[in-house]
Amino acid sequence: MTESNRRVFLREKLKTKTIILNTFAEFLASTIFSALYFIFISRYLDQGFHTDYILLSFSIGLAFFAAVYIPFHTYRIHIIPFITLVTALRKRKPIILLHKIPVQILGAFVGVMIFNTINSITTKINIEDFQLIQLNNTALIIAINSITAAFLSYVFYMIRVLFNSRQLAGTIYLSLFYAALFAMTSFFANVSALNPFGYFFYDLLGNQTMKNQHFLVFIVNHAIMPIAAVLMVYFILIQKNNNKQKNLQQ
Amino acid sequence: MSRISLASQIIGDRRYQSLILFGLQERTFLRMLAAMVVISAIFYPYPQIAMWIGFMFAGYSAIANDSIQTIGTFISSNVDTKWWKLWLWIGGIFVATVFYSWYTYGGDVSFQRLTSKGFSESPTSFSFYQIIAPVVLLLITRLRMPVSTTFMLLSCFSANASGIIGVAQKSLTGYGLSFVVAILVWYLLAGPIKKLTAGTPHPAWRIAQWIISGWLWSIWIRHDAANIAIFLNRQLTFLDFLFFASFIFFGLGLLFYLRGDKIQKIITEKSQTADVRGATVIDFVYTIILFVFAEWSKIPMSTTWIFLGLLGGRELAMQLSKNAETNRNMVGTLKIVGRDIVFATLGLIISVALAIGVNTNIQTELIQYFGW
Repeated sequence: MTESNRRVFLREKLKTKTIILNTFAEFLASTIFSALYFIFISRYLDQGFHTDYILLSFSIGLAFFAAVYIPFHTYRIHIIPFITLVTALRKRKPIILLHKIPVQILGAFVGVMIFNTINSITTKINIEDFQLIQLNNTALIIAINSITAAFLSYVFYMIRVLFNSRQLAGTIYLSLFYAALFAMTSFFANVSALNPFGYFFYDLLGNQTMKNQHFLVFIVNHAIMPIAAVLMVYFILIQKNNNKQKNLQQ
Repeated sequence: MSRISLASQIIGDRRYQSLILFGLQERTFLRMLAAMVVISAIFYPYPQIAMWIGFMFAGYSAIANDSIQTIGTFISSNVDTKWWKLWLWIGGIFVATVFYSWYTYGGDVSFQRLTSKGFSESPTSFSFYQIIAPVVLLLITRLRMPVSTTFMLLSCFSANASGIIGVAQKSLTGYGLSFVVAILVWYLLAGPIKKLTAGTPHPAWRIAQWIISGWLWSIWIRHDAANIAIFLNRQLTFLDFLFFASFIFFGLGLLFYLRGDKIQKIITEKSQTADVRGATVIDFVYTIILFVFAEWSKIPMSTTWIFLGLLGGRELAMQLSKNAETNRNMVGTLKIVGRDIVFATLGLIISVALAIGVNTNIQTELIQYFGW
């Protein structure tokens, strides 16, 4: 093997190792996040814990921080698939979706299993009761969910690219923002954009947060519209910014 | 488009860079602390699990930070000895000492320190802050602030304010006494100590050091086992005891294998601690002071404060004496002593704040005291 071939081989090996580590970290993060997310909500709903809404929002932000920081310390970890989608588009690397999304799904499944186990022994809470404002307007719920997904993705991009905060500071900003977003939107019961796979498995494993929804509405609300909103944000705002940046560099 | 760092704008670029450096250098440690916080958040409502988690965190803190007060000089002056020999000696003494307490006092491993006022009841429930108190302690000590574990942990569990006041009074007396004793010993006996420590050490010094270090270690356990046992039932069953002793024993093994954790630097920066004779004299004086306080009363106290008083007084005496050699000037010495006092006081303030935040009994007493 020639020297240049050897270098290429080593670079490829390092790349593979990084992807494997990233994938494992994403799984761990997704597990921690989904478990903590529901644990904190169940404690808020349980009278015995005396948790108020502000503390709950802060705890959810902390859960996000812990989930990102413990496995990898930088936020190459995404946890939320909409963030992965924006990153894949921005970097023009669809492969990111392939190695992140499946482990996010798997992690959320394990996280929800952990929560269900703890919940069945202790708090015995139904997350569906976390409905502070009863919204019956489906269109409005879909709009809130989609705006949340779009807003989250855009702020991730802002922190990552515009403020250039890659390390600990970036993770802290994002967690604070996540806490604020949770506080703003969770009044409207189970905004799935903040933990899509978590809610998916919570429903699938028999707890039924959205039991009264029609299947089509369910798909539109939790998948199609949020993805469409994220794509809109990407093509209208992010790509524009990217082009501006390129022009400035030239 | 210009790239902005928001944090550097807020706190200033220099501070931001130091913070980034600390975050990078200590990232594994910080991630471990974050994991500890998450574990605490999940398990604190379940007392049977939380007590053991709290114990393990406090145990880790005791092994990595506090035990350095006593075995730090032993480690730094025995760098040429195999780690497992040091471990078996110190670990064996630990097991023997706590077994004696457990056997003699009906399952109590704290030498009845936890029978004193305010600490006698086994905890039946835990708050989140009680479980993460050792984590806060680990973070503060990693910033090289010598915080008292006794204040930090016991004050969160004290049933009333008088319990904390008793601990603070005894600890302050300890600081003052050890400071004065250290000045007297190293100032008046500087000449003989200098003669004693000249040339190559006689092999008998090594034996003397192992015996004195062992004695110091066992007396220190008499004081500080309460800090770890505070999370557990006041009477441990045999199985409880087995887990308690094994956890610390194997933790000590890791400590010796790593030759002390990062906090070990606090010891090595002081004058003449690497010399077996200098280290033995420090250990001997420290042992006598701890012994006096152990016999004096059963109220728990901060051994950290005694240790800081001892090292501070010693550094000052060595500076004042013509016979002693030190590697810094008077200003440098006063700076070191002052910094230790400031940090220890800061630790005390944080501990009291944490105790007030956690402890509803103390909150009620404060409200009554100020008539709010």
